[in-house]
Amino acid sequence: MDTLEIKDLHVSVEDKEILKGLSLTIHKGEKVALLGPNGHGKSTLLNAIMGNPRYKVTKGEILLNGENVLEMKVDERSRKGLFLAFQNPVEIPGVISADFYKNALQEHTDKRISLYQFYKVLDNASKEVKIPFEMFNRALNDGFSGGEKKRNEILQMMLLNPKIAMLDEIDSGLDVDAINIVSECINKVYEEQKTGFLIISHYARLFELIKPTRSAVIINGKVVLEGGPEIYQKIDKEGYEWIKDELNISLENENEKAMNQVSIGVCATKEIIKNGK
Amino acid sequence: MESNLMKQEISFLENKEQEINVKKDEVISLDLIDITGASLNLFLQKNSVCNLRIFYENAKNDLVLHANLVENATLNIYFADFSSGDSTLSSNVILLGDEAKSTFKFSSLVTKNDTKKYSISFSHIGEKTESNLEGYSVNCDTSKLKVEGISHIEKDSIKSKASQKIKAILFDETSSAIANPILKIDCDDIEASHACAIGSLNDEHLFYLLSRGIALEDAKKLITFGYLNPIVNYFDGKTKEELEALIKKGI
Repeated sequence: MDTLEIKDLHVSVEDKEILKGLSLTIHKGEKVALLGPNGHGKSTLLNAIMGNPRYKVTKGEILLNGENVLEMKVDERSRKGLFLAFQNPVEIPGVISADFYKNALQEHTDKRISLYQFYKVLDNASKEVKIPFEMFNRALNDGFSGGEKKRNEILQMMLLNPKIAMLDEIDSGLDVDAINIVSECINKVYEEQKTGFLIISHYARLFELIKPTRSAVIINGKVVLEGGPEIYQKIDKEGYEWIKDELNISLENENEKAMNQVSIGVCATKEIIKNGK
Repeated sequence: MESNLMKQEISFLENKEQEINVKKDEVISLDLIDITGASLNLFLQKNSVCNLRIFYENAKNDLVLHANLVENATLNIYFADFSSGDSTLSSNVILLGDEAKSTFKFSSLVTKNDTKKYSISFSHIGEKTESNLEGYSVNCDTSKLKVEGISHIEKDSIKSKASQKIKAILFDETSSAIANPILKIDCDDIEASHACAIGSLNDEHLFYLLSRGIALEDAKKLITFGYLNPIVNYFDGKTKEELEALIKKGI
């Protein structure tokens, strides 16, 4: 069974420690809702797993099926079966989407993919995410709307067929129809491949549609609570105060300040970088 | 010399000056390939369109270009510099007539110890004139690139538009690029913009491509290809094939 294990992970961004001994395990066939107040390390965790060089792992382990992920280069992590759908996918002028997809797809298989096979796979995936095929002749994400960029992330997930898919606020900025499309795709991949999912969202709407099998809550850079779907449902109704009270956790001063500075849906790590804190 | 062909390839003798007159309402395409020490003067009459495609492929190249555009004339210049050796290009376009328009797009691959210098200027004199400079360069080894873009909107050139965008990637710390996008504005009622970006490959772009399983070298190639390849769309036939081959070889 494919398993991603995170053990006592410490991660810093520009010398500020964001994750402070985080541990979490995700198995194939699980959909884990990753929750927590802004600025407590959810996006940092996903970026550290994928190997974003901006996020420095100072201590701890990340293992994929027992293999040390931290020793792998970013592209190797992808080929081993990790996938990150970005919160803000970048636009890359001049890089044609179809060329990029073909390169990426080819990297994930030993067999040579013919042009016919590639277009067939891409055509099917484009219909699932409801992005017109012609858009793939344009530069990557260039001129795409916010919703199209997010659906484009899901399309890439479907093409690459990862073992563990990490979705960072895949629903932010999507209208109701687009959320339905994205959730249908996630459910389809889950049903067909039993992919393990680690999903960050600030909205219960997505979770209602994809029905996570587990919840994990990050506060102060650690997973402080794990359990079933009832946790995200309670957080949706009552917020995070009850967790602080039940577990007798106080938010660390600087993080609390960061929480107050950012609005829902904003990555506080970026705020820290921006403000030089 | 008056043009009477829809498309022509100009043959220059070294160190020669040539004149081309594009007649009223005429639409022509001109291809210039590997120019040494030559000068070209273009006169675009009313409502004419000239697509000038310049391709530096081999050895040293240098070209001086002057163009005068009268009312509603359009000059599009597409410049691909993939030559080895030093090269220069000087272009001066005068938008004399109202609603005259000119675009200058270039892609440049600068390698080894080569030095490439481009001076591209537009003078807006007529009303509602437009100019657009857009250039991309990839610089390697100990090469040097110097680009000067000047858009001068003169006093009576009301409702004119000028834009400049220059981007250069430095692959090696020993390569250098200097870009000066300059706007000289002597008229109030106009729109103008200029932008310049010089640096190494964008880390966020690289991380995105790597995160999809693409190896570092291939990711760099994809981004570089994205910088250089768009100019190919403005060429055709054998020149286009040669350009594509050079880009693939270059990256």
